[in-house]
Amino acid sequence: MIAQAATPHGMTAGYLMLVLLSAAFTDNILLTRFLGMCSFLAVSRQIKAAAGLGLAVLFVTTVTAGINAALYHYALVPLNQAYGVPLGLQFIVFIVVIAGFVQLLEMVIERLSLGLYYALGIFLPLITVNCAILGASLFLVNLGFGVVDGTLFGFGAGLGWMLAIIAMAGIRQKLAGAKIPAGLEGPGLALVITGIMALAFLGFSGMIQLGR
Amino acid sequence: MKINTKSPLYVIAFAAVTSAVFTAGIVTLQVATAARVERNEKMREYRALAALFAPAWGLADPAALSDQQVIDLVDARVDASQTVTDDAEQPPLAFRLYRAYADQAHKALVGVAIPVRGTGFWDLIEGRLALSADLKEVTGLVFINQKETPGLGGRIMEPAFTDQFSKKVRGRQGREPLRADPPAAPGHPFLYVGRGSPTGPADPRYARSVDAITGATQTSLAVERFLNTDLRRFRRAMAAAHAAPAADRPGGGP
Amino acid sequence: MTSMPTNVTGRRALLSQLWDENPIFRQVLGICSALAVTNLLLNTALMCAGLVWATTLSAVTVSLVRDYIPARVRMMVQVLLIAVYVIMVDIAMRAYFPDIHRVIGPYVGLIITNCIVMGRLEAFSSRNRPWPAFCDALGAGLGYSILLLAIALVRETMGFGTVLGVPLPMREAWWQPWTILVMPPGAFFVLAIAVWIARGRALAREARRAAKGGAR
Repeated sequence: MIAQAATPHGMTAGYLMLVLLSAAFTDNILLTRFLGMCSFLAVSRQIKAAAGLGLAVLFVTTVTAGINAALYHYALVPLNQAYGVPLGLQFIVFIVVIAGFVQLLEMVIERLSLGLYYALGIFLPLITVNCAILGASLFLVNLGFGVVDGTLFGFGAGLGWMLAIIAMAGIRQKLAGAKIPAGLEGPGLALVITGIMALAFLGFSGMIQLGR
Repeated sequence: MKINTKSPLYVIAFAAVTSAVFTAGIVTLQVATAARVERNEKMREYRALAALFAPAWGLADPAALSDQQVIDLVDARVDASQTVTDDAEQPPLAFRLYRAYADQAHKALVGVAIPVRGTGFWDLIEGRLALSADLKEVTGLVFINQKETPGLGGRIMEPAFTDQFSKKVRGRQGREPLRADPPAAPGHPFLYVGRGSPTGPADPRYARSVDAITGATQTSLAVERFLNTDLRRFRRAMAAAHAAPAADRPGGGP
Repeated sequence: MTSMPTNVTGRRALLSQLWDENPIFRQVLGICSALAVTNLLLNTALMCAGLVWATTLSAVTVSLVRDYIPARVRMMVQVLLIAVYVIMVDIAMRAYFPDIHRVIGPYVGLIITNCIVMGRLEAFSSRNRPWPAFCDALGAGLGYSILLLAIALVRETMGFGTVLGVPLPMREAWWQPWTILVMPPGAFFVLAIAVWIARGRALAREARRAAKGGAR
């Protein structure tokens, strides 16, 4: 049972559904592509903090995916065709856009919820280099998405990341009372749990194939 | 001079200047090395073509040739001027035909190669698929660009994987070459990657099946997907162009 | 956000990053690359070299201009800096060492977005003088490398039966491929065990020190 969709495609509801499902589940950016691990492992002890970070990542991924898709299609590609500006610039452009946006987000969070601000600690500026967010922007270019499906893809990727971190926080909160060897406590256990989740997601391999 | 790092003017100016300087630096570096990079790309493609057609040309070890020797060899014996396009499906897909001849006279066609490409697990995978002159058999496959997971999907570049497509290697193992003609039942794939071994000559996978790479499911599926798409669209493009290369040049004629 | 005292010596910074505050098992940074790259020892070595380069250079640069970077755009500037240093090397490799580039090319993005680089810039380099910043960055890179090379040794030998591409002696006789170790989920388990061992020893050491009553 493999669903395939090649782009460009009519923006049918079915196609958009496939994009969303593949980004959020079968090609989950955390459990299938293993991006965005650092903050995932460190901030997933409590559901509240995890949900806060998850929402922040979801927000940043969606908006920057949209901005980057637009920049790619309406600025980088025409510049490349007209003046030979190398497309390799997309890396720098994307990451600077993300960095600028995260800076904005940091200011907003600091103003709105000081508790969340301190709970996130260093992992708030680290959203900037969250490989998942940059990965989402780069993948949507590789898969040939436009602005609409690209933004949806970004939303799906962020959603998948958020669901994974909340699931992880739920599991870790349940395990908080268990007897665990001192060395394994914390990141060690989180890695084992993630490994098991990743094995489960291996089953989704290649279920939905997008792109050429 | 005490700089007020909080003044909006300074912030904007700083951001603008640093972005401009760094971007200009990267672009300059990229432009300066562009010629060199292009040459590397060209050599990769030339070496791929040399490796693909070496058996037909009777060359034992194309890897031992120098860069210039490979360039001379391929320039002399391969004609890459023709392109066929399939526009029955959108977007239209063009295939550059690499026609290999026995020698510089360009009379005896020994094989044809086409570009094959598709999105892998991480990024675009690109290769060259060599077919026999009558387009009925696969004679070889070489990948020239990929960014798959090293050690896993990246192994598609290794001989362990690509030798499965080589007519010469399969012959040495007593196996038939892979078939590139349309499958018996329409809608079936041309080639199967990692779909199990065929049970007998009547099995649709017979002479069309290769092993996948263990642990690299997505990459193997992607390769299967784009090889089939490209073979299917290529045949349609050839039919549209009414130009079967073997039809007007039987091997060995004047 | 952690804020370190601004009079930390270079030596102390380096040593602390190497083990006590090791980026991987203490600070939980740099995990994505640890998972991706450790299935082959050669790739790991190149990745570690790339990371040490990126971290040290950007640490020194940020430390030198730390008084001039406006707080509002500091993340953009830092990330731009990191990206520039890494892409510079990427472009040079692509032109002059295409074979190495084919190996390390897919990981360029993983070096730029490596949390260790940004993490050390935010936590240390932006508040300290260039020499301590350099030592801190070097220590972080080396701490990262030690752990990764150990993990890669396990994964490559058990998953591929080779070390640096060279097959193990007489491996047909006794070695079975354990492919899951080569795939990312296997990386999680090996990394978990490595973290377990390292952290266990670090905690035991701390307990001994505390028992002696000495200051850290």
